[in-house]
Formats: sequence, C-alpha cells, structure tokens
Amino acid sequence: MIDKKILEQCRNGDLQNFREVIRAVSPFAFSTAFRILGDEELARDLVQDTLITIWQKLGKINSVGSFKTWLYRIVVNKCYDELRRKKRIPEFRPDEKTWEMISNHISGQPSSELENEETGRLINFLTGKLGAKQRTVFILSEIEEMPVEEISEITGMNRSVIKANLHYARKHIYEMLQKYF
Amino acid sequence: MTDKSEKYNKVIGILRSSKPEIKDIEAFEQEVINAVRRKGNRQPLFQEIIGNIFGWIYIGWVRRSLVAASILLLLFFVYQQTIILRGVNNINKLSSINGNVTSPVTEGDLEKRLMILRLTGRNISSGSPEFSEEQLRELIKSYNELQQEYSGLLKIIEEDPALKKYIEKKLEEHKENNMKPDI
Repeated sequence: MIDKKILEQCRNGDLQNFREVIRAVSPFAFSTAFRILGDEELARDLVQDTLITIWQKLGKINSVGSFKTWLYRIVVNKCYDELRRKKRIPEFRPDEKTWEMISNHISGQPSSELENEETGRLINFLTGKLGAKQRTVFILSEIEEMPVEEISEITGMNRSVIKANLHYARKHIYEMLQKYF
Repeated sequence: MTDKSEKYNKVIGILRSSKPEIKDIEAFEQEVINAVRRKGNRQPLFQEIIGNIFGWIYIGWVRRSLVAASILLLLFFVYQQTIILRGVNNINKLSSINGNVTSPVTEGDLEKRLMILRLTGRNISSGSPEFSEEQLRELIKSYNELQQEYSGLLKIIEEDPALKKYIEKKLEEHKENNMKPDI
C-alpha cells in the first residue's frame, strides 16, 4: 500500500510525499469512518484528524506492514470515541423518503450502489440502537469483512467479546428487518 | 435460506457494494496539508508528554481516564507535601519557642532565631528591623544580665530551705487564688 521510502521521507518532513500517503489511505479510512459513524461530515473531519495524527507520529512506525493496522486502529478508536460522545443524541428516525429508499433496496428494486447519504441513512437506521462496541464490531466484521483476529488487533477486544458483540448486533438487525420490512 | 436471512444478506450486500467516497478528494488533500502545516508539525509540549507516557493506550476514553487519574494523584501528592511541610514548619516553630531559654544568647543566635520565626510565618514583619545594631546589643546584654540574676536568685532559694518553703507556699497561694471560680 505505502512504500517504505515514502514513509521515510515523510518522517523527514517531506509534505509532498505525505500527499501520496493521503491519497493512498484516505479512501479506505473515510469508508470505514463513514460506515461506523453514518455521517459524511463527521467522517471527513475524523479522517483529517487521523491524518494529522499520523503525520505527528510517523516516527513511531517501525514497519510498513504494521502501518495499515495502525491506521485502522487510529480511525476506529476515534470513531469509537465519537460514538460514545454521540450516545446522548436521540436515535435516528427515518423520514418517509428514507423509508421508501430502504424498502426499495430491501425488496430488491434497484440493484445499483447507494449514494453516501443513502448509505448513511441505512446504516443509522440499522445500527442506531446498537452500542458503540456492537456497532464498531458489526461494521468491521460484516461490512468491511475483516477477520476476527484483525478486529481484535484493531479494537483491543478479545475474540469472545467480539463474537458476543457481533452476535448481539446481528440479532438486533435481524429483528429490525423482520419488524419493519 | 429463510426470508429473515435473505433480507439480512441483501442489506449487507448493498452496504458492502456501496463504498462511501470522499467528495472532492483534491480539496480534501489540500485541507489536510494546510491543517498539517498549521498545527501538525509539532504537538504542544503537554500533549507530547502525555503521548509519550500514555501512547501505549489506544482507546481514547481509557487514555483520558488515566491522564485524569494521574493528574489527580499528582495534585494529591502536592497537597500532601504541603501538609507535611507545614507540619515541619510547625515543629520548627515549637523548637524556636521551647529552645534553651537559660543559655546565654549571642547576637548571631538571636538573628538565627529571628530568621526561623520569620520563615515559620510568625508575626514578624519581613522588612528590615526598625531597631539599630546598638539597641540589639543592648537588648541581648540586658537579657543575659537578667538571666544571670535569675540563675543567682534560683541558687539563693535553693540554698535557703526556709526561703524556698516560703516561696513555694506563696506560689501555691497565688495558684489557688488564680484558680478560684468567680461567684
């Protein structure tokens, strides 16, 4: 993903090479952050914040191999903090337009990809009532398709905690789908 | 496949295939570079210290809790040290009061005692003393003379049992008169 030489030059303060790092990591960092948070603006700010953290702490990276995990860890932990902060925000209630959009997709009408806004609405609808841990684990495991070991490395949770949270999240989403569609 | 899991798989499939994308990636790139130029080159010293001490904790709230706990512990430590210092100062104060009163005092001794009294926060003005060196010498001389006379008086009393008895009796009476409650 990222060349060792580029990281080395970034460590020496080369912002031009850091542009390459931004180009390489932003898409998947944003995708993960957006899917966990369900909010485009928040995800954008969070990725920007993450990239600043990366720039400040590049000296601590020992190998290119660990870079991706390290990056994911920063993104996921920032998202996790954000979700915990948002806990008191009232749950997401879909309006008529959103209901229609979600129903159409579930009933198999359009097979095309969703726009960012639609994805956000769908994620918020499905995971709005889940706790921060459950939501994070669900997105990483089911949507980002990460293996349990990787999730464990990123979140610091052990395997059984991950499995328990995932089980609860799946159960909740099954129930939501059964109840509303 | 049940209807329930079919719906679930469909939703998951839609979400997997819809990859959110950053709008206007070039503007975003520039925003990040500007932010890095603005504040990214160096972390504030406090943050750097916190980062070095607690950098191994990746979960934000755990890190923040530990930072808060350490600050509290540090404050508690400082508070405790202040209490201990105050205690030590009080002991100093006591030693300056209960010091050897009968021993003759030199000018240097008196200055030391005055300094201890000042350090321990007793009511002595911190400015320059309002008496001259000559007056101070006079005071020390009178004090030493008084002490000598007191020692001499004690010696005379010790040598005369009748006088000693008489004085003891008078002291006892004086004590009793002082202890009588008001009616």
